[in-house]
Formats: sequence, structure tokens, C-alpha cells
Amino acid sequence: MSATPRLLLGIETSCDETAAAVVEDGRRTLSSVVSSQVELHAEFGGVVPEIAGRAHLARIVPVVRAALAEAGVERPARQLAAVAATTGPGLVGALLVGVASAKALALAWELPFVGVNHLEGHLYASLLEDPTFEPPMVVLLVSGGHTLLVHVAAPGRYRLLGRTIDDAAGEAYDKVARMLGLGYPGGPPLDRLAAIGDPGIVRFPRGLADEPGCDLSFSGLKTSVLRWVRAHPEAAVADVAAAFQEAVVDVLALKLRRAAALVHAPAVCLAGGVAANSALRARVAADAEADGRRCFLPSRAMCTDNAAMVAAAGWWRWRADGATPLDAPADPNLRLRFEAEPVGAAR
Amino acid sequence: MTLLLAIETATPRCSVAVGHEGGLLASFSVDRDRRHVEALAPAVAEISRAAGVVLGDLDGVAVDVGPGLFTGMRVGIATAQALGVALGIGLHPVRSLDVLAHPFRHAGCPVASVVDARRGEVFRSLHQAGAEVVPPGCSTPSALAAELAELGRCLAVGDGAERHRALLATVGGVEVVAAMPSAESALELALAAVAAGAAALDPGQVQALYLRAPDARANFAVLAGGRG
Ligand SMILES: [Zn+2]
Repeated sequence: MSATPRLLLGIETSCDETAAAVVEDGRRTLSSVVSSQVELHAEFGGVVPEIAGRAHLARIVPVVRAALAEAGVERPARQLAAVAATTGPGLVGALLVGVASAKALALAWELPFVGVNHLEGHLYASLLEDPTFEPPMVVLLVSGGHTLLVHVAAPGRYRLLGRTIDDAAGEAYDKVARMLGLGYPGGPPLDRLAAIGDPGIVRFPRGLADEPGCDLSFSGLKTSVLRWVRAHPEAAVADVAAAFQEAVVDVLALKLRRAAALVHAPAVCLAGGVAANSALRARVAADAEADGRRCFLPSRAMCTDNAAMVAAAGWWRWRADGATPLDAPADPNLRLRFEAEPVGAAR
Repeated sequence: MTLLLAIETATPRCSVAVGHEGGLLASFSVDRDRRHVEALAPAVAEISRAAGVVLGDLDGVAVDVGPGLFTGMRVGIATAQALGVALGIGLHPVRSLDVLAHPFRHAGCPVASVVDARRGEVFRSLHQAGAEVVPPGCSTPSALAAELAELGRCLAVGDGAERHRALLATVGGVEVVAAMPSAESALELALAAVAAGAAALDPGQVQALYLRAPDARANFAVLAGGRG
């Protein structure tokens, strides 16, 4: 008899990436296959749910097969411990492709199925890339759908320290980029332009920066950029981008610093799509060094959605709670389970 | 003998069946109004127990690829594909409108299969003595009524016919029959195709039959759980 399997297959289809991965012990990535649909949605300026659902279904089989093959998994029923999939939050018509696939694979291989919260996946990204990185840590999770500050005391033990009270940071990026005619997704081109612009041209509001606590707000910023651009049609796009980006980075970095101090966290890390932003990375790294904290900045591939993080989260979730029932739903509004109510929140 | 599992999720009902050339071993249906992703995997587990079959004994999986309820179709197809990948077996796609018409093949008159397509439209095809005479298409109920008016006596079966019963009843000779496509019929059609020499498809080759372009509006509201 072989030893207890330590490999977990993870599947991610919550938004516009079809992904599958095999991870060992929740820490070591053996394969991570991502088929991005960004090009399918670009012309619409955002993710189109029905297009995403169709693309996931058309791509899931080759993606799962490639993940198993690249990891050298030839006898999944024996080599895998479980099959995990993101059950939410996300687009329901997209989620259910991954959930149905994972359940059926688990059923056929007689393995446990493990439902994973997508956000929990992002929290584990750093642990996959740096084997020496360990909780406790404060994670700033910033993406097109989410902006959260989470204290990870240990795997599976989270406390919510702050969150956006309106738009996600990435949503603000996409909307301002569209306003400036930079296309979709807006983050990368806006980031590049901001690097050559003069942020001193105007000072945009830092939402909730002067409020106590760690909550954030971006809708006022978006509105004031729109108003200012209309009043100053002659302004250089790069300067507007730089001023906008500085406002976002200022407030994200401030709140991360405050959250880390609040719980005396020895380490901080970034996660989510906006974690690829060069200005945010530079600022967070500099702040952490000044404060004497360890800092982890995920690779670009680990910032965006992938299934390795889902497999990692699935590993800890399975060890803590066991299998998820096969009648579990795909839940577009799935909430992360926190240990306590928000600490020091502005609300 | 070809032992098949059949999966039918193209309408609000979710049903599964297991059988071979010798007959049906078990069937099971769940009316949980579109909660296919919750109902299907337990239904597959349940039916293999009821039929006394281990999934590893299956020779193939028959699956309804639509047209119909997009989310239901995707759950059924993703499940069939994953079973095919995991068990190393092929898939036998069948179409919802053929599955729906199958029990009425001896009706002695034309049979219109009509699946509710939402948004005031229907998916429909026309059959005579078990053979397709008009291929699947997306249509308005009034265009369907005009088509049926040409036929004289005929049956209009399915949830689309049921939804537009009042309109179709104004057409002389049309009898509306409330019916859902069943996994038993899907199983019989797939077994008939196997007997006729149809090869199983690799799970990666099976495609959904949508018959309608995606509603291509970026929905920022639903992105609350979205990108990144
Ligand atoms: Zn994400």
C-alpha cells in the first residue's frame, strides 16, 4: 500500500479564467494550468457572464487533462487525496462548470469533493510561492471584485480587518481606464501610463483615509476623476493616470499599514489582480521594510485567478472540515467565514 | 452489451438513467427547479446504487446537449465530460428536442418538440414517425403557430408548448402535451445510435447546442464576485 495521498486537484471557474492545478501538501505546486478568456471579453469592456460560462465548458476538459498530465498524475484515484473547486463567490453560470466537473471527477474516482471559497484561495497564494512564508500575516486582497484586509492567524483562521464599503479597487481601475480610453482590462495600461505621468497635477480624494479603522472606499475617487477630467479636457492622460494611481496606492498602503499594526502582524502580503500593480508593490515593500515586517509580493501569475491557490485552500479546508457534500450549491455571493466581527472598522 | 448512464438536464428537471441493450436498469428524476448543480451528482451516486452498478463498469455516458436551459445544459455536459475523463470512457450526445419527441414516435401524426427558450422564444423541431423533418431552431411562438397551422392534426410537446398553450390552442388540429425530456428517452436514443454504429465522442469533443448567441452585455453588477 502506498502512503496517504498528499496531492489535491483544484479547479477554478469563478470568473474569466478556466484553471486546474495539482498541489502537494497545500504548499507545493506540481502543475497550474490557466486558460484566460480576457480576449473574449475585452471588446465588451467587462466580463460577459454567458460568454464566460460557454468558454469554461469548452475549455475545462483540456485544462483538467493538462493539469493532471503536467503533474505526472497517471492514477488519480490512488494519487489524489481529494478534488476541490471554487464554489463561490463569482458568476453562477461560470462557477457551476467547475463545481459540476469537480463533483463528477470525485464521484468517479471515489474521492472526497471539497468546496472552496475563491477569496480563501487568494489568501494562500503567498504560501504556494514562498515555502518559508508562514502566517500570522495580514493580506491585502485587491481585485476587480474584492478589496479586503484579512488577518490570517493560521491556515483556516481569518479575521476581517477592513473592506471596501463600495467599489473594489480593481473596479475603480477598470472604470477610470475606460474613462481615459485605455481599454479593458484597464489596470496594466493605466499602471504603465501612470509611471510616466506627473501625479502632482491634481490631488484626488483618498477615500476614508482620515477615518479611523481599516475600511476603504473608491466610488468617490472614481466620481471625482470623472468630474475633473471633464473640467480639464486639456490635461495629459498620463498625468491623470498618475494622480489617480497615487490616490489608490496611498490609501491601500495606509490601510494595510494600519491593519498590520493593529494586530501586530510580523508579515504582510498582497493578493488579487491589483497586486500586480507596480506602484502598489513598490510602496508596500518600502513600508514593510520601514516597519520591520516581512513582505511577500506574489508573482504576476499568482496575482490573477488560478487553481493552485484553490487546491491549496482546498487542502486546508479538507483537513479542517472533511469532504463537502455533493449537493453543495454554487453560490455567487458566498461569504468567507471569519473568526470574529471586523476589528476597528469605520462603520 | 453497452452499459450507459444517461444525463438529462436541459430543462428545469434533472434526470438520470442507467441501462443497456437489454433494458433500463434504473432511472431517477429530481424536480428541483433548475438546481442541477446541487441535484445531479447525488442523483448519479444514487442511481448507481439503485442499479447495482459501479461507475467503473460504465461503457459510456449519454448526455443531452440541448437546446434548452443554458445553466442546466452546462451542468449536465460538464458532469458527463468529467465522468468520461475520470473513467476513460466516451460520450454519446443527444439533443433535447429529439429526446422530447422520442416517446411520441408512434403518435401517427407530426410531433413538434417545443422547449421554452425564455425571453418570449422557443426552441423547436418537427418529427414524423420518429424521423426529424424540421431541424432544431429558435423561433417565436407565433412563427411556430404558423408552422403548425400547415400540418393539420399534430402534437406540440414540451414546456415551450405548455407555456404558449393559449396561442397554440387557437391553431386548429394542434394538441398541446405537457412533457419534459427524460433520461430514459436519452438512454434509448443513445443505445439506438450505438446499435446503428455511431462512435462515442471523446469528452473534450462534446459541445453544447445553444442555438442562440450569448447575451453579450458586460454585467458590472454581477462583478461583485468577479474578476481577479
Ligand atoms: Zn480572484
